[in-house]
Amino acid sequence: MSHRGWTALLVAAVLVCALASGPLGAESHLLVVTGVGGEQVYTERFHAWATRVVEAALEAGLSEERVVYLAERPDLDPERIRDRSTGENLLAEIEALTKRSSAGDTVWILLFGHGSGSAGPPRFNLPGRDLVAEQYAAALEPLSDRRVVFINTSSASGGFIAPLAKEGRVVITATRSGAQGNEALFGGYIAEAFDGGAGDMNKDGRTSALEAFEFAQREVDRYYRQAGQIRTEHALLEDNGDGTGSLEPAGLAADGPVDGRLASLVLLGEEALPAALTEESRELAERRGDIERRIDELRLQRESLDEDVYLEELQELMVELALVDRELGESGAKSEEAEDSDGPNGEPDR
Amino acid sequence: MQVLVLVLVFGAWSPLTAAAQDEAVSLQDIEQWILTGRYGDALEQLDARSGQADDAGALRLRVEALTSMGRYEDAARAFDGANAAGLGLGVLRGRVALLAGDREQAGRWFEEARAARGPDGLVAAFELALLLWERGEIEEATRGFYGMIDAYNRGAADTAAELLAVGRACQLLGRDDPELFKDALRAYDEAVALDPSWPLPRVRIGELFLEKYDSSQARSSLADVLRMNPRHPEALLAMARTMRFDGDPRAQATLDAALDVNPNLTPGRVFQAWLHLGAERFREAREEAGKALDVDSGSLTARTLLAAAAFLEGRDEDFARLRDGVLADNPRYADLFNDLADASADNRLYPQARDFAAEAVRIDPKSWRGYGLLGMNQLRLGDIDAGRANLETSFAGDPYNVWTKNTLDLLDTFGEYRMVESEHFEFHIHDREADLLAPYMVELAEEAWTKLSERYRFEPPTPIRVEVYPSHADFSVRTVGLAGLGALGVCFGPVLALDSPSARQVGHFNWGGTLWHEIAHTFTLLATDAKIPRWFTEGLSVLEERRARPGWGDDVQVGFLTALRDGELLGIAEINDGFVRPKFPNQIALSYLQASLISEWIEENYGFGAIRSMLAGYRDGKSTEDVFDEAMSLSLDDFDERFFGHLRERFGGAMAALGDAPSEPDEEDQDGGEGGPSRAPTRNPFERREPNLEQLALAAMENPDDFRIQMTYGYALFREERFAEAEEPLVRGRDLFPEYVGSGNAYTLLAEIYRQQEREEEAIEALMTLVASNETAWDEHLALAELLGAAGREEEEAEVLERSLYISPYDLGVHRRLAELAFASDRFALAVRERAALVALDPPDRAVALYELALAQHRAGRQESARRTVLRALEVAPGYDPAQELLLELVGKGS
Repeated sequence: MSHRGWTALLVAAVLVCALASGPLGAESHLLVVTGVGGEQVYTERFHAWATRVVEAALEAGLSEERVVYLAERPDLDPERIRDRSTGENLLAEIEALTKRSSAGDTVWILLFGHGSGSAGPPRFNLPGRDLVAEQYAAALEPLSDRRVVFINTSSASGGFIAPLAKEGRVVITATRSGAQGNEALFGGYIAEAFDGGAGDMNKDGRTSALEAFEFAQREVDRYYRQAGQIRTEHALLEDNGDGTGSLEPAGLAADGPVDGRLASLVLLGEEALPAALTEESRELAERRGDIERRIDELRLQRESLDEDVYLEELQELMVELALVDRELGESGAKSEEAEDSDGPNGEPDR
Repeated sequence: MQVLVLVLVFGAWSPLTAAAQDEAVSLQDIEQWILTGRYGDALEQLDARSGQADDAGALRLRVEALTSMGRYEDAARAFDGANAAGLGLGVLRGRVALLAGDREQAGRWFEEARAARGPDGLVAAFELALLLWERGEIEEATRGFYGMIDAYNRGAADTAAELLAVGRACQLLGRDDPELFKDALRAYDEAVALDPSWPLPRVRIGELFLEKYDSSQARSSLADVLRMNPRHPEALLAMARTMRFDGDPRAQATLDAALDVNPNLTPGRVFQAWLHLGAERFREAREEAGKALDVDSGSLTARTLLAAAAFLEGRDEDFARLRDGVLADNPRYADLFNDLADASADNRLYPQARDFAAEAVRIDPKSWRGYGLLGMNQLRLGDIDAGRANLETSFAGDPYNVWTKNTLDLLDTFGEYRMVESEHFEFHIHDREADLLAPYMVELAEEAWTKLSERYRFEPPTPIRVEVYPSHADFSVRTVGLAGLGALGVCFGPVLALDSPSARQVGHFNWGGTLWHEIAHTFTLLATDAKIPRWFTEGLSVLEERRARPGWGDDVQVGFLTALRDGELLGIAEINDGFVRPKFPNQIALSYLQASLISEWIEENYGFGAIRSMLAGYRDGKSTEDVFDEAMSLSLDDFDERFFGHLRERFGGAMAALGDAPSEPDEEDQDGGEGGPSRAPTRNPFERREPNLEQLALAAMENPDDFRIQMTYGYALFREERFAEAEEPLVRGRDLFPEYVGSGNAYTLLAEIYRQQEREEEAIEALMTLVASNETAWDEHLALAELLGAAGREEEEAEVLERSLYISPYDLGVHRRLAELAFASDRFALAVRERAALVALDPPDRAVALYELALAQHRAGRQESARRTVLRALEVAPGYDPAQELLLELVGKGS
């Protein structure tokens, strides 16, 4: 494992305890759904996007039994697709998720397909009877003590924000209203964000819901600008429970109940944490957390500081952080060596 | 004068008398003929009533028919022996006198009508006020106009004719209170409602909308009139003006139709004269104005035109005499200077335009048009603050002017633009793309400056202001005040404006070529004090594009060759018409190309010294005849003979290969205007929806020298993926017309065939040939770069990628590859530029992009920049270890 991987791992161990709402060792679950394509090209496209996310989740450490894929056409990949994505199957799978997961777990639900919302309640088009946003909200209710990330990448998905918004839940839609009914590209970029870590902006080795959102948002914008076309989709993220999505969620650094804080903490996948952190590693990780907090504080003062002063102070902290990370890396490498020989499972970390 | 002509008709439109209706030949029939434009028939019928004196109704109809046909003297004679005022026709008689230019007599008839207190007494009062207005007695005239409003408010204006006069009064008073423009429209609408068959209120509505730059509403109203009477002279004239405003090439034909009905339509003659002047055809402009003055010797508009012609031709004494003559008749006639300002701006004389507009507002501080012109021309000269202030004054006085409003709205966005200065230029680029575009634009503009200043032996005053608009609508507003301009760039001399590459779809234009084109204009315009003819400055700009980079500048297309073959290219004496009065949509594009080939031919045969000598000649105010004679000892006819001979020789083979087929406009560049035609990809002209391959094969065999047939057959095979068979006809097509690089060209198709067949070297050669002539072929540039890269020809790959940036600088992959190539060849400064571009593009992996920029800066020896950049990378990703390592290295703590 690289210096970076170890640092991320050790830091995650400390941060999860310190910041995230989920307990250390909480599990992640993923449900991916593709709706009715209507045309072969869309059916195949949605399947390709869904497959990328499924593979990214497996790559990120989710076990196969915790990754469920429902599709319009199971024959496209019978080994991976558990069942047809009818409304009944989907609701049954959410119910099964409720049973399978525990309080504090993270449940990811991603929808790829077409939607509608300009006439009647917002809906996601499924084979057979569609489910409307209120039905998803009702189905998710038993998961209220889990962290749910609900991403609807369909056209006209903006209407899902208000019905699904809830404290402790991240809701992402490809459009800002039910009226934006043109074909949406957002889903493809969401898939890309998770696949291969393209969305991992802070280079901590994993992609958060916020990072994926921002990546997809930016790439959609780039697509339309580059093609010289009029943009017809504006994605929203809601995670403060007020029912109003944000085009530009603030993230962790901002104060107050703004959108983006929770989404920045929810990461797709999980890594097996070292069985036991050494005292030295724990101390270094705590020191690291302290430096990061000081960096965040400094960044909040950026506007009021002279640029040179800011950079001088930032440099000091960044050098300090880099040196700690270097030590963490060395410490992690030692742990890895120890685990390789003494690990409980007798197998090294991936 | 126009106002008077238009007002004339309504006097003839009151209900016919009961007596007339009882006659055997119905006056209502005659009236109907006039309504539908059968003026001659109406007169014939009225004449057939010989022996019978005209009563009031018949006299009205006779005068209306005669005036509609421009027979003003006959119309005046029709009143002989009649007590016009007593018949309620005093106003009509006065207007006939006005049409013939006799203002004094007109005043007497109006006065008599008013004194008679007949049915046209109120309108007579309006006409008298209008005469005062024309003499510059604005305050007195204003009182008269307000009298019309009083009459309306008292309910005394209750006929359509009176409502029309009220509307016109409100329109003229709008300068004091812009709300009155709405009232003008209301009065016109009420006149329409009162007499729906009377065309004149609708003509007035059309004119009012056009005055406020709303051509679509103007068209709609005028079209209503012309549907009923397609020969209505005033409606035709107003429609021609509207079409001219919209750049509709049918404007000339519509004006011709108006003058065909009424050859003495003074405003029509004057409008025609302005069109000539806009095309720099001074003699024709003077002749046309002369025709107007033959009818109405006192016409202020015709005399203004003559003053403008004299000014543009450098006949200073004539100009002063004409100007002073107009002002003697109307010392408050601001439109003299406004029209002079417009004419100057049309001829790229922006400083003079500004000064004339300043004079307009001096003699009439309520000339909102004057403030608008002053502001616009100040903006064109880069005086943004003063320009804004005057536009705001203009807009406060006339808030319906969308031209001014759009410009002010645009100025409000200037805070979003960032100024980037270089040695000779001052760029204003939208903040969101300044980081990306500025380095490339500065580099290219300074290169252009160096080369052009050496070539032209002239240095324009600096800095040259370059405005780059990410929205084409904003660029259009900046240029003409309205959205919808087809051009890509514009040069006002010291100020350039152009579309940002983000304003158009990739492959629609080459921003580098456009910038170079506009900078070349700066040189040729300022070197000649803007006296260079349009064709020459455009021709030189395209020529300079062509010299700047392979492939830049217009290419020879099928339409050009068919126009050459069919004798449709204009001779040197008329070529300006191809730019300013195109007769068909593609003529502008053809004119650009032709002008560039003329410039190229002159340089090749007489050296660039001849070009410089021509510029000097134009600067000194010489005519094109003299300029050609002095620089090349050629008359214009001799020049045409030699130049067209050269074209026929150069393109003879390709012309022959086109057979007799007509030109297909779709193959050509459609847009045009200042800054060169748009290079939007067009439909593949060789594509057939359901090609019959057998028939095509037979045709190809029977016509081996027909370019179109070979290409159509080759393309059909290509589409069927029968690559091996497609090669032969495509190669034939290529060889028959090697210059053809437009849609469906042979090179692109052959390159694809070669790629499929793993004949990479031949694919490279085909694409190399293509991009050497086509500067917008985005996909082909990238395909060529990829092939070159795969062949290990990295230097050429980098060169092609570099050129692709002038088509679109927004592709992350291109910058990434260029950066890698630069890094690998130790060209770290170039690597820094490319890595900085990647950062500016806001890449998905920002931390990595910043780190790589920092690394390039580090390797380029720019340690301080590297330190700052790597800190920015760590701001995004504090734990990103390569960036951490670089930081530690930069601060001396590397491992």
